[in-house]
Amino acid sequence: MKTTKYLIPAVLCLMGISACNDEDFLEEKPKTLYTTTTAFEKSSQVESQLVTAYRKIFSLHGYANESLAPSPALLGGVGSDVFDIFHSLVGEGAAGWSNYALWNSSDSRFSTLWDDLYQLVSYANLALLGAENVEWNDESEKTYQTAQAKFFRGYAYLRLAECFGGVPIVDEFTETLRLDYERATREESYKFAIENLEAAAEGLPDYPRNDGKVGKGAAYHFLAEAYLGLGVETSNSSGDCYSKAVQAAEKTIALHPLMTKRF
Amino acid sequence: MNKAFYRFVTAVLAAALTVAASAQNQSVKVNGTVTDANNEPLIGVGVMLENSTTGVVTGIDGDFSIEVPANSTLVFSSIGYLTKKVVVEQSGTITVTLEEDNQLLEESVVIGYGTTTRKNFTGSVSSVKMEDSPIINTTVNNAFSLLDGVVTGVNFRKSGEASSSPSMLVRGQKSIASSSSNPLIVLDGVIYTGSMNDIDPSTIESLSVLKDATSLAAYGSQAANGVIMITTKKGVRGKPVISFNTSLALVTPNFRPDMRDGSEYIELMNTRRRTSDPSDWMSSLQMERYKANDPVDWYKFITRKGFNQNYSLSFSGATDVVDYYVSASYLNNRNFIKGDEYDRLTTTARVNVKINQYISAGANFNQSYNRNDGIRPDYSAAVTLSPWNEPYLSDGRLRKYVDGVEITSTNPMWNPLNGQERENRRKSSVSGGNIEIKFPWVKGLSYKITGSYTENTSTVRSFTHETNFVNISLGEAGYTTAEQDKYLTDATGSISESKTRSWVIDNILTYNREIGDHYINATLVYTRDSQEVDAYTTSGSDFSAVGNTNLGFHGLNLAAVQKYNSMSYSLHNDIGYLARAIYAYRNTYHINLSVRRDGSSVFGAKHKWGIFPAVGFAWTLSNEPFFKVEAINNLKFKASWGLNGNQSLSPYGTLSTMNVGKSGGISSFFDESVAWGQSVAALGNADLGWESTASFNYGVEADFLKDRLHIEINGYKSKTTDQIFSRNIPVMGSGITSQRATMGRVDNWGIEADLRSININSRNFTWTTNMTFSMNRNKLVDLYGNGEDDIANSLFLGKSLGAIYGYKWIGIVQETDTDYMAANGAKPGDVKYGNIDGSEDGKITESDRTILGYNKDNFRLSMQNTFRYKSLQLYFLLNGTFGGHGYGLAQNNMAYQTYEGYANRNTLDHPFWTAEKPSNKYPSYAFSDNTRFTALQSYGFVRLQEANLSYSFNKDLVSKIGLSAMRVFVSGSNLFFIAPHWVGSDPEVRSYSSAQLPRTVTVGASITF
Repeated sequence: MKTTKYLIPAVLCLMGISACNDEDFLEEKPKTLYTTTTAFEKSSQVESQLVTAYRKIFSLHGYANESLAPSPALLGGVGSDVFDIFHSLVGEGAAGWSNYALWNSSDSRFSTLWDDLYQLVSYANLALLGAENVEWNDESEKTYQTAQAKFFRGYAYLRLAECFGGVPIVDEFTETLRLDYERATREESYKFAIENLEAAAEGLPDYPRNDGKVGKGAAYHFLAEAYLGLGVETSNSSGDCYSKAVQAAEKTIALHPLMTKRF
Repeated sequence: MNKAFYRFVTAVLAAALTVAASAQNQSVKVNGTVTDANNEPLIGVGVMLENSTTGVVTGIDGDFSIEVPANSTLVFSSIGYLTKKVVVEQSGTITVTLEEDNQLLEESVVIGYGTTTRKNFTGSVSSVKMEDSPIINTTVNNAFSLLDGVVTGVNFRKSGEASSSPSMLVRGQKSIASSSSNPLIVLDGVIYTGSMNDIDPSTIESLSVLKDATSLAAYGSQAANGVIMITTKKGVRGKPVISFNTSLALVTPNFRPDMRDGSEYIELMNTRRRTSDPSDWMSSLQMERYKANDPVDWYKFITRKGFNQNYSLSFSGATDVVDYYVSASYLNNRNFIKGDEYDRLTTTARVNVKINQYISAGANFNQSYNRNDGIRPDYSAAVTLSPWNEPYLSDGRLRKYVDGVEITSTNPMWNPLNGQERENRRKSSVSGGNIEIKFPWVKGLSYKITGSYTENTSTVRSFTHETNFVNISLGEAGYTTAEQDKYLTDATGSISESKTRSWVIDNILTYNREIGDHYINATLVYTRDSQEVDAYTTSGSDFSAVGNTNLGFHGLNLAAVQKYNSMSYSLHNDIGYLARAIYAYRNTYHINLSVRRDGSSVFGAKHKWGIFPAVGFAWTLSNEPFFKVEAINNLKFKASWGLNGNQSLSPYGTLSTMNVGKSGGISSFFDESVAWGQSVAALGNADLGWESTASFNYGVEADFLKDRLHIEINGYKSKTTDQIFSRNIPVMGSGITSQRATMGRVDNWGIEADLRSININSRNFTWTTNMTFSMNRNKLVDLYGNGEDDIANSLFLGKSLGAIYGYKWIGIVQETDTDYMAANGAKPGDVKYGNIDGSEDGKITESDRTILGYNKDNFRLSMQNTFRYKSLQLYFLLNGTFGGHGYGLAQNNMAYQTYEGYANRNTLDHPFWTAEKPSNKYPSYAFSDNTRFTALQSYGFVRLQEANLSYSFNKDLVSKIGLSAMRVFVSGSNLFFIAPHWVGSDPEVRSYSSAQLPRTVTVGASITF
C-alpha cells in the first residue's frame, strides 16, 4: 500500500514532464543537409554554382550516360546526316532517331532537351541571384562571375530558339510555383540570347583564366550564330543582323587567329 | 419385550422425525444425464447444490446421481459451456443440455491502447488466431505471409527472394504516390518500428488487421493505411510448458519461363542474320559447343534445390503472480537461386508480474540477428543468354564472357563466385516495459504507462577484387593472375552502416466498468514517439600500391582513394493525444466516440497539427427482447465514420535542399584539377501536411444455427484528400522538374465478405469452410484543381488509379495494309495501332491514345477448407485474383515481341511474323517500338496456396514418453496455379527476367513437454 501511495504520484509526474515542449519536439533541424538558405553565404559558392553550368554544357555534347544530361544526342547531330544509327540486325535500315518513321511526340528525348536547356538557364539565374547576395572582395571578380552566368544563359536561349522557336523568357530564379509561362516569339528569344551574350562578351577576359573556362572568343562565336539566326528569322528586316554577325566573328578570329585572310 | 418395544418406539420416532424433517426439508434423489447441444454426453460436468459444497461430477456417459433437499437448485457447470441451473422439486431422472459458451462474443478484440470484447466492437477487423490453427503448419519467414488469402481487404505483393517480406495494401490504394502505403504495426499494444522479419511466427498468438475508421482512430495520423495488431503468446497457468517446433522444407521454383532451346535459338538467330549457316554469326566458342551438340541450360545453371530449416524452442508458464514466456528460434533459408541465403536468430523474453492487487508490471526483450550474405546471380542474364555460350574455361574454371566476344555476355554466376563479396548483417533489439496501476479508490480506473526502445543496426560490406575483372581481348590468357593484377586500381570496396533508434512512450488512463445494463470504457492517451536514423557510407578503391586485395573490405584503409560517399541523419518525432469513450447498453446498443490530436515533425511548418475524430454505432438486434428467431443467435449491424491521417512525408521533405561538394557529384575540370559544383536538389513546400482519409464503414455480422454459420459483410467508402505526390512543374522557374504538392482527391469504395461454416460437426469428423471475398474500386476525383488530367503520369480524372494509357494494338501490319503503311511509314510485320481519333489521314498520333485497362485487380476470392478426422487434420487454401471489366491487366510485351534491341538475346518461345507465315498476333523478328507497343494480358489466377496434413498424437500415448502433446505435419505451399491468360512468368511476379516464387514442401513437428 505504501508503494502504491508513492508510485502513483511519481508516475503522474512523469506524465507531466513528458507533456512539456511539444513545439520544440516537433521542430525539424537537419544535420546533414544544406538548404537554399545556407548555400549562398560566400562568393566562392557562386563560383561553385557556375561549375554546375560548365558540367551541364559538357554533358550536352558528351556521353549518353551523363546524369546531368541523359540525352545529348540531339545536339550531337543524331537524326541528321551527321550521325546515323543503324539497326543492329543486318539489312533492317535505320533505327532509333535516324528512322524518321519512329519520330513521335511521346518520345522523351524532346522533353529532356527542353529540361536540359532550361536547367542551364536556372543555374545561371541562381548564380546571378547569389552574386547579388554575397560579399565580393573586389568588383572585377563579380564582373567575371556574372559574365560567365550570362554566357550560359545566352547560349541556352540560342539553342532553345533554334530547336523550339519561341520560348518563355525567364530571367530570374524562383522557388514558388508559376504556371503562367507564355511563349515569346522566336525573334524575342534570339534577341534575349543576343543581349546576354553581348553582356558576357563585355565582362569576360580575352582569354580564359583557367583551362576549361570561357573567354571572350567563345562569347563572340555564339553571338555570331545568334545574329545569323535572328537575321534568318526576321529576313534581316533591321538590316544589320548579318553585318553584326560578321563583326562578332571577326572579334573571335582576332583573338584566336587561324585564318589570316578572308576569302 | 421392553427391548423390542424400545426399538419399535425408536424406529417410529426416527421415522416420525425423518418424516417431520423431510416434511420441512424433504430430500430428493435426482439422477440423469448431461449432454451437449448435439446430444453427446458431457463428461466431468460439475453438478452442485447451489450455495453449498455438495456436488458430484458426471461420469463417462454424462450420468450423475445426487441427493439434495427438495426445491433446491442444482447448478450444472463446465468450462466452455454456459452454466445452467435447474430446480428439482421431486426425485426423478432428468436430462440436462448445456449450451456452448458463446466464446465468439466474449472473445477479446485488441483495439488501440486497450482491448474490448467482440460484442462491444463497432468496427471492422479481421483476426487470425495462430494457436491450433492449420495455417501455421508451414514454413515462413514472417507472419505477414500467413495472412495472404486468410484475411479480407489486404492485397499482397511478393517476391522470390529468401529474405523478403511481402508488402501489403489495406483496402485499396488511397495515395496517388503509392509508395507510402504500408500499414502500421502494433506489437502487444505498442507501436513497432522494426522489421516484420524479426518476429518469429511461433511466438505469435493472434494477428488482427484493423480496417475501419473507428478502429484506426486510435492511431490518428499514422493509421490511414490500416493497422496490424500482433498479440504474442503468454505463459499459461499450470506447470511450465516447454515447446519445441521444427520444420524442414524443400524449395524449388514454381515456374520456369519457356525460353527457346538450342535449336529454336539457332532458328531465330539465322532469321535475324539472314543466313542459314550458324557459323556466319556464332563466335568460335559457340561453334565448339554447337559441334559437340551440347547446349547449356542457363536456368539450371543458376538454380538449385533449396532447403529451409526452422527451429524454435520456448519455455513458458504462469503462477498467480507471474507469467513468463521465453523463446529462441533459428531459421535458415537456402533459396532455390544459388547464392541466395538468409539466416536469422531471434530470442524473446517476456514477463508480467502482479506486484500487488493494484500494481502490475511487465517487461519484454527481443533480439534478432539477421544475415543475408552473398551475391545473387544475374537472373535476367540466365534467361536471355544463348544456350550455345560457353560458361567454363578449358581448365574447368568459370569463364566471365561466355560468348568470348561481347562484354554484355557476362556469366550470371561470375559475380557470386568470382571476385565479389558481400556481407549484409542486421541486428535488432527491442526492450520495453509497462506498469499498470489500478486505482484503489475508484473501481474500474487504471493507469498504464508503456515504453519501448528499439535499436536496429544494419551493416553492409562489399568488395570487388581484381579477380573480378578480365580483359576480353586476351581470350583465355586474360584469366591469369598477372593479367588480373592490372586491375588492382579498379578494385573497390565499401562499408555502409545505418543505425535506427526509436522509442515510444504511451500514457494510458482507462475507466472500464460494467454497471448493471451499462458498459463503459473510457480512455485518455498521451503518446510520444521518435525515430532517428544515422547512416554513412565509406569506400576505398585503388589497391595497386598494396599488390593484392587479400583483406577485402577489412582493408579499406589501405586503399589509395578513400572517401565518405554519404552521411545522412534524420529525426522523426510524433506527438498524439487521444480521448475515446465506448458505451454499451444492455449489450444491444453500442456507441464508440473518439478524437485524436496529432502533431508530427515531418509536416510542413504551417501544418504541424491535425485533429482526427471518429464515431461508431452498433446495434445487436439479436439481443432485443422482441427478436425471437431461433436460427439466428447473433445479428449485429454496425456503422462508423472517421477521419484518419497518413504520414507520407520523410523527415526534411518540406525543405528545399542543395547538392554541394564532392558528394553532390557535380564535377568539372579546370587546369587539370577538379572543381565541385552545387545545385538545387529538391524544392520544398511548407504547405505539406498529412494525407487525410475520411471513411465510412458499414457492416452486418450474423451467426446462425448456434454459431455453425458465421457471416460478416462490410462495405466501405473513403475519400482521401491532401495527397502528397510529386507533380511535374515547369522546369523554367528553378531547373527542377517536379515538386511535392498537396492536392488531389482519391475515393475508394469496396465490399468485403467473410463466411465461415462448420459443415459437419460430429465427434469424429468435422469439416469447416471459410470463404473470403474482397473487392475494391478507386477513382481519382481531383488532381491539380483545374479539372485536367496528368497524362504523363497516367492519372485521369474520373477513372481508377493504375490506368494504363497508350496506343491500342489491333493486330499486325500485313502486306495488304497498304494504306496504313503509307500513312505511318510502317512495314509488314510491325504492330498495327488503332486509329482511335478517327483521323482521316490514318496517321497514328498521340491523340490516338486511350485508356487500355487498369492495373488493379477486379476482385479477390479465397477458400479454406479444414477436415478433421479423429486426430488427423487436412487443410487447404485456394486463393484467387480475378480480372475482368478492364481490370487486372498488366503489360507483357515480350510474350509477343521477339526483339528487344539486343541482337543476340534469347526470347520466350513463341512464333514471329514472317512473309511466308504471316501472323496476326506476333510481330516480326525485327520489330521493336517500346515507346508505343503496349501488349496487355490479364494476370488473373487461382492458386493452391497451401495444403497441409497434420496428425496430433493421442495425449495418453505421448504422456508415456513424458510429453504432453505432439503433432507432426506435412505441407505444400504454392503447389500449382492456373493463370489462363498470363504468359511467361508467375502472375504475381509478372516479369520473366526476375526470380519466380518458391514452391515449398515442408515436414515439421511440434512437441510440448
